[in-house]
Amino acid sequence: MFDKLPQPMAAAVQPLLLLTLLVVVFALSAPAFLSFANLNNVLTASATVGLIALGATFVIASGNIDLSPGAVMALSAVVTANYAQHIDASPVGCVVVAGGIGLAVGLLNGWLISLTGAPSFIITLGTLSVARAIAYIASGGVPVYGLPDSALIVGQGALFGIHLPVLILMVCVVMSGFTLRFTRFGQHTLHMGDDAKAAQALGINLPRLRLQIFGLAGALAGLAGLIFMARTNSGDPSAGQSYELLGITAVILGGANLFGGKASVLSTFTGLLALAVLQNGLNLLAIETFYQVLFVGLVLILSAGLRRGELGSWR
Amino acid sequence: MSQLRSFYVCLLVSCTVIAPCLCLAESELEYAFILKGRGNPYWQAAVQGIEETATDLRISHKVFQISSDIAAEEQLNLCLSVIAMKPKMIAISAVTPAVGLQCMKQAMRANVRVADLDSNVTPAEAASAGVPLAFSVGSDNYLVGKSAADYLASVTKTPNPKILVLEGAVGSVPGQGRVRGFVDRLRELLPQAQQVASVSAEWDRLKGMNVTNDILQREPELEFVYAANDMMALGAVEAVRVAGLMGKVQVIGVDGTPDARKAIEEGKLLASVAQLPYLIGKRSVEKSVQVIKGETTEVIEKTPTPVLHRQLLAANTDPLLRYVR
Amino acid sequence: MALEVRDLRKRFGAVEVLRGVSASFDDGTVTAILGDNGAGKSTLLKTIYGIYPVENGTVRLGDLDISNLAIRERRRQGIEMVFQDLALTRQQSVVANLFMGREEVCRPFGVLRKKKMRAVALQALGKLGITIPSLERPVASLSGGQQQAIAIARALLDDPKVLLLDEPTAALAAGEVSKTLALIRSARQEGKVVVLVTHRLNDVFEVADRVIVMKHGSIFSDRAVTETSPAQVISEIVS
Repeated sequence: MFDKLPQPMAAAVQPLLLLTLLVVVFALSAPAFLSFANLNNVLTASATVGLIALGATFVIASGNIDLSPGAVMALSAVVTANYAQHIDASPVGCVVVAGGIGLAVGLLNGWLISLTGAPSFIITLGTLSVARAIAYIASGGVPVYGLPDSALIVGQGALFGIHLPVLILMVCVVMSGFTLRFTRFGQHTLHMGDDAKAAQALGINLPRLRLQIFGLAGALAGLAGLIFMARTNSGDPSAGQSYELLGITAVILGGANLFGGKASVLSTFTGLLALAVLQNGLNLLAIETFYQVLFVGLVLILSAGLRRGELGSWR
Repeated sequence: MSQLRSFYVCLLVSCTVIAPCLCLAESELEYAFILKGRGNPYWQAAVQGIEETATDLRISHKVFQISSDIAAEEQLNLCLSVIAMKPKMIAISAVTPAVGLQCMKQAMRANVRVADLDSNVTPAEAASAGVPLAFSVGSDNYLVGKSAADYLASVTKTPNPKILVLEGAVGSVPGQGRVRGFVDRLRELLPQAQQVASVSAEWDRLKGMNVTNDILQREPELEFVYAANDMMALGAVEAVRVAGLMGKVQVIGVDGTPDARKAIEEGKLLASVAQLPYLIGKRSVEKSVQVIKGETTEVIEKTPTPVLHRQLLAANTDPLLRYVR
Repeated sequence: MALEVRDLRKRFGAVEVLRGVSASFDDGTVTAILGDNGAGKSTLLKTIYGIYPVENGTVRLGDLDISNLAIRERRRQGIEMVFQDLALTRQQSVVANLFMGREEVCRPFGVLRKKKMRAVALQALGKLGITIPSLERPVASLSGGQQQAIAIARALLDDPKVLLLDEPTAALAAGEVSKTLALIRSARQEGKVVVLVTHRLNDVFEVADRVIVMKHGSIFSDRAVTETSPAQVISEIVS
């Protein structure tokens, strides 16, 4: 039925169905749902997880898993908060520092994976702990409070009534969507995830590609940390706990192949919105948190069930 | 074909969502209470206080909670969603002061009155951020720590007991208050007391047990353990029991949870400084209604923190005991 | 412009897989390499192509020593290989596979020139007489023979000087084998160096000009195809 659509759109059809249904349900049952303010909230709420999901799209497309983004967020939030308090609170400076921290951890991930030949799962599980620990050590375990206003613009400012985190997310969605689908880097990422041995046999430089992919994912996680910091006005070493799993959830809801080779930013974004709408709608209906978590789990399992075989199966 | 099948499955999913939603879709919301983690008995008691009082007063209200006590961004997102529902009043127990203030500022812009629940944001902090707090109700964690020290001083047989302090999660503001209050007061009352260690057991029962166990290896002469919550205290009790030091090492906890009270009655736990979250919930509802009706109410209200010990529980005459849940 | 290897040695741990192999391969000649499993045929091919680094000895293409070049650079010099497992990325499109590792891009961001690649792909497939339902389809949706054709088309796409084939007919049906052999013949006619590793003697005597039998990592015999027979080759392999 949707065979004639261009590939990325066809891939997004299933999460789109889910999203549409959720929107209809909540629009009918929660009167506040469709207000501009609330929809702005939905998008704002998904900005941090969204940036991580974008990075995860590339990482998963390349057949890897990155478990470190949540911890990278915390590290970036803590370091940027200190930087803003003591050195320079300009939004640009904060973006550079936060992105730089994330980039550094990401490059480290990519380098270590190539160096050791170990699965990315193991290496990033390691850097997850290391980054989180450094965040705790650097902050003495205490969240850094009371940041200069200019450092908070990124999280709390708005342009034409749209929150800045939303705009940042949008820009990143468009740029990464283009990158994955229309550049050599994106194409190589998919080749690598599809069959790393084949990609290497055709002369694709896998170690360099890994640096780029994990560097990108890291930088996006660093940016997410900055938004977290600016929204909550604190450099919190406990920030972003298990956000990487939410990001991966969005990617999988979008229909990517967990074992690599198939992923699309548009699908991830749709999956992300479905996730955010689900959470926001259930909030509006004052459904208990535990049931929210339950719903996310059910939706994920069901959407995996009806794409049997497409997500990368063992059979 | 598979697309069609997926459509039906989506329909199925959404139906499972719709059913409870439609049941819960209610008329206008007036009072919103935003609390922290759902799994914590402390908040369960607070919810009970809110629900029972709100039912008595026949107000339109809802209690919102987040998945854990540290999910800052999740609480901020929740708060924004709640504001979109346009209640008259939001009382929030903020994960961090910054999140609380952020939420309150947004609420003010939408003409929603705001209040602090459980002393996470002080009225002074709020005022300096330009937010007029309708009220702040909660127990004072510093006083909790002091009460624990008072009680310890009243029962110790030696002037220089060896004491282990189990702190809460690193960076927790209430946790720090409880420890500082205890340590400061102890220094006044028992200047010769030896604090053998003060380490975090992250509010966790098993970690409380492990830490106590480790310290007991080094300090078999330990006499007291002060834990910043009952979970860790009960963990410490287990460690003491396993080490065969029951009666030699006394444990004091904080919160007055049902488990802790049971352990006190059984003589395993020496005492627990009760926080009365039920009373905090109850008072927050009553004060919210007063604010919306335009009646006057105290801006800062500190709820009492009685020290629960065996005799007190056995006598069962203290009027505050009915708020112990 | 011939391909030449000198004293190639290679070990995997304790096993010496190549024990000083020297040979030269001429333009417009199809050389078949035969041998038992573990004789070092595939290893030789992969060392020439650059999958395995040259640890000892040299690989020369004409006057150029390519021993230390990466795969990417060797391909740029005109060495292409068709792999036994085809080395296709099966969830990606036909075009993406044809241009894998050699994409046409605009600088500086490496934006893919999709239209140009489509056009080149169409032309190349047409020239080779390969018909594919759609260039945008994932390779996994094609038949085994079509996938094989894509792999060969990819190797021939940029008019290479050297074509290395590792068991190109092993998994094919009879009709598809003859198509593959026809492609090999036309490559020879264009003056390319063709090196073919295979188990199928029939193919060898149908298409090869020269037969090399390898044994325990060394060249055992090296003859023109006219100077030997299937029976002799078999006896050399098993002896």
